[in-house]
Amino acid sequence: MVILATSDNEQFNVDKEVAERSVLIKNMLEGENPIALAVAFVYMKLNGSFIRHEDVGESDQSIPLPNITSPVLKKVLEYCEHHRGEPLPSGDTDNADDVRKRTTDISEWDQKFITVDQEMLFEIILAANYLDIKPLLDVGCKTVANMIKGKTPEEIRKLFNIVNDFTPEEEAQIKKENEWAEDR
Amino acid sequence: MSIPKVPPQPRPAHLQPQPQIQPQTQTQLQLQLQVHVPLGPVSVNVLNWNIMTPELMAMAMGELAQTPQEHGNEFPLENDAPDDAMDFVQDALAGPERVENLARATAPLFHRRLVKKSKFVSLPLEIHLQICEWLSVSDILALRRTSKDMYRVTRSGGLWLSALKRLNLLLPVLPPTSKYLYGEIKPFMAEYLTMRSVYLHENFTYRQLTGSLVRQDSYDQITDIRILPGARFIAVLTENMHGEVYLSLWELKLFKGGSRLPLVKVKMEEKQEVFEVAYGTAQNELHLFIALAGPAIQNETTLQFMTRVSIVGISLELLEELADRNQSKDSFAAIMEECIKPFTVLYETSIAEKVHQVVMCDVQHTVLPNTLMIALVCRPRLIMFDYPELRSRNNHTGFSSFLSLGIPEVVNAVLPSSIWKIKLLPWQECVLVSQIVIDVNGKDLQTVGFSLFRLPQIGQTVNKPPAIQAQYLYGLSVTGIYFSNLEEAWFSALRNPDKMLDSRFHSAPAPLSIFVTTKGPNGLVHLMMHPTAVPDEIISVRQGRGHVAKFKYQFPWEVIRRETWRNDEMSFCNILPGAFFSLLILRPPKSCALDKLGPGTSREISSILGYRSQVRQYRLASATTTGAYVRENMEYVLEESGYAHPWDHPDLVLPGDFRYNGSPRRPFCLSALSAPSIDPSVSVDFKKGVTAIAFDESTGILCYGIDQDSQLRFLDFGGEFRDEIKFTWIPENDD
Repeated sequence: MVILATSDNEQFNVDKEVAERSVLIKNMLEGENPIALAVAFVYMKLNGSFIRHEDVGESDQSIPLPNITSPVLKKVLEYCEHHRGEPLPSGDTDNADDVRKRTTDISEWDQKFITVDQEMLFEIILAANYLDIKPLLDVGCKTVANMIKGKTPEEIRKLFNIVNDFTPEEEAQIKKENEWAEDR
Repeated sequence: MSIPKVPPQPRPAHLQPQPQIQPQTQTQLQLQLQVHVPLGPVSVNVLNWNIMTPELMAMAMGELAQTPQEHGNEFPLENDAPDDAMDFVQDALAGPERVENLARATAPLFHRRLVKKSKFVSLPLEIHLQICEWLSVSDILALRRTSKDMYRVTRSGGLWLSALKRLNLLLPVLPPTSKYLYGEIKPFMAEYLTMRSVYLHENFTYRQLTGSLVRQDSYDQITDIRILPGARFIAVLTENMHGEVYLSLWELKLFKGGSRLPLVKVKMEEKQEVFEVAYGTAQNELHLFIALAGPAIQNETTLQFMTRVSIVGISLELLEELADRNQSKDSFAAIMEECIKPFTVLYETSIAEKVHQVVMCDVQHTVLPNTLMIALVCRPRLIMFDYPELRSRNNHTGFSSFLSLGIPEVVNAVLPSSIWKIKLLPWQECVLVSQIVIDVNGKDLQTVGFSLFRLPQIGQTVNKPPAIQAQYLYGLSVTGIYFSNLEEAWFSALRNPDKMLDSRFHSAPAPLSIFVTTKGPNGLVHLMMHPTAVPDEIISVRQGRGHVAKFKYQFPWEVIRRETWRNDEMSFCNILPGAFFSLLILRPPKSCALDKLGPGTSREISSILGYRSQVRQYRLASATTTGAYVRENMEYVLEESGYAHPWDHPDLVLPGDFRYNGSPRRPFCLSALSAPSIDPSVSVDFKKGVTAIAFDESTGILCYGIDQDSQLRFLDFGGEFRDEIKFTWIPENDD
């Protein structure tokens, strides 16, 4: 079991297998992560004793996740739990095959899972990015992309509450540049 | 400021620095790491954890707090940021669990930063780019128009480079012999290239260039046209009623109303069967090279058949000078006088074989200086030379070259063999050669081999065995070998051989495929394809700075089409350059088909043209995702189905070979395609025969010559795009 501590100081007991969906946590548990090493060192300096970095994962020490609040982590763990046991994607995403396979389709379960308000959606994306959970990050980004798709600039502004800070001249200029792509 | 859920730590009475603990052991020293700690949307890059003291940490936090502008203006510590940061960092670091506390303490700081009016805009750039990876070009453009922040995001070169890569899988965007390999694309170019190909795909139209009609000397027939890349100059071969052959160079812009005189016009001594033009570098100066080869002519005294090959060049500087003068309306006569001998004959020789193909390529060589490489494919020999070679050899009487492949080393010297196709790989100092051996022991067995030779230093000859070799044996006669042209696949395959071993690559669309057509007994015709011409196994990789080591090829051939055609019908096909699974199958004399292999699966073949029309000439290109072909109108073909055409060579894949010998005034139809669809998007009907066509990939200009009264006409497929889209590039820092 791994203990994860959120920014609002809540602790989650998670199966190692589930927690390791996050590459960040996985590396931490394997002691390869510089942060984990750094944490170990600071402890060492303070206590005057040397903690082997393997101990970081195994001990009762919780892993602090300072960027993630408990509702978000709960959601993220729900995703990890559902997808446990699936093969982790390899780090190399820059090959033609991957690019080719990319569609914005989202599986049914993921679709349901990601049906949350915008605030939560962005939090999940940020958490997935921070924790390095590529599939979840993709689901999040695809969802946002699907929200943007086919919308006019004005609709996008409305959707995301974006303030239009272009001067009318600038706006006209950009509009002109892209005019040919308008009516599609 | 409140820091929730962190129990207030008693502030230490003294804020002196903690006694710095020196690294004690070797282990510690080794583990000193420069770390990059992601702290939410921003990163602290300055921490060396091993010597981390609260002061340093506070400094880092202070820096963090001082740079809110980059990330949005709502950083909570705006005014007295450094002090505040110091305070709470020190607070946080006071207790024994300092790092953990720090993390907790900073979390709300970053958390709060994210709670902005538009959460979407305040997402880090990294995430924005990830989202854009899933968006189409038009969506990205819509996003660009929402706000200044998003404008900046969507100007990122990396974004467009990734978009271009995705697009190139769907529409072949990059030219087949492209200098624009991904690595060389400047980020700002990526946007342009993407836009351009999408634009052309979506708004596929053409316009006739105004005043494009040009009248040469009357009754000249245009027999061949070449457009130089960029469509500024065109080279035309004409033949007048007395059988005299002329080579002329024209500047395209002159057709827009200026003088309609050629820049250069020279009379050729004989009819030219092979005609190629290319820009190339010689003596560090850009030249226009023209390679010409005549028919085999019997020598009256020796009774030997000899082919005359000449390579002529004209420096671009001179050509531009002539163009300027032509524009200033100097008299035609004056120009003709000036340029009576405008071309430097760089090379001239007679060889015993018929020259089938000339390949010219400006090689930016790491071994040789930037130079023009020329390869003459004259079965069974392949002769290659480069420009410095030309100069040095020109004084010699005998013909020599640094690579003369008569009989491949792999094959017993007794067997006759033949060079079929050659491809110069300019970035790799190599030449890819396919060879076949015919009539092994009198049987219809054939060996097909592909060899990759590395080019030698100037003055040396190739005597090493090819770097890559593969052989097959079939009980079929090979009628053609074709390459699809996306050469960057080779580029990456050779640079990253490890990647190619990845099984995932093999399921990706094959960027460079080798197609072979074979013919068996009873007219059985196979079309075989090797999906990826990449090594299956690497025996040893990377020797020195060479990338080509020993690759073991297995070439799992797949028969993708099997048909029985009548024995007396010739058949051949050609892979459309760049359009990767596209295929042109011509079955003269009565039928032809323009077929397309389905993308990805590569096994669906859809016929586009009926088998009743004849493709006369075609030029296909990928840069503009367009192509064009000329075919006769169906009515005529039906009517004249008994018409015999000299399709006597299975290797008539050079468009220039598709000579039309019939009488003039026949209905023709020119169609233009826009990949990936092969349905003609534009069709133009003529009353007169089209004798030659040429297509420039880089500009989308198509030039064709009309029968009898020697008119050159132009269609401009890229013009509207060039006119409408004016990009203003803003300097960018990313990538």
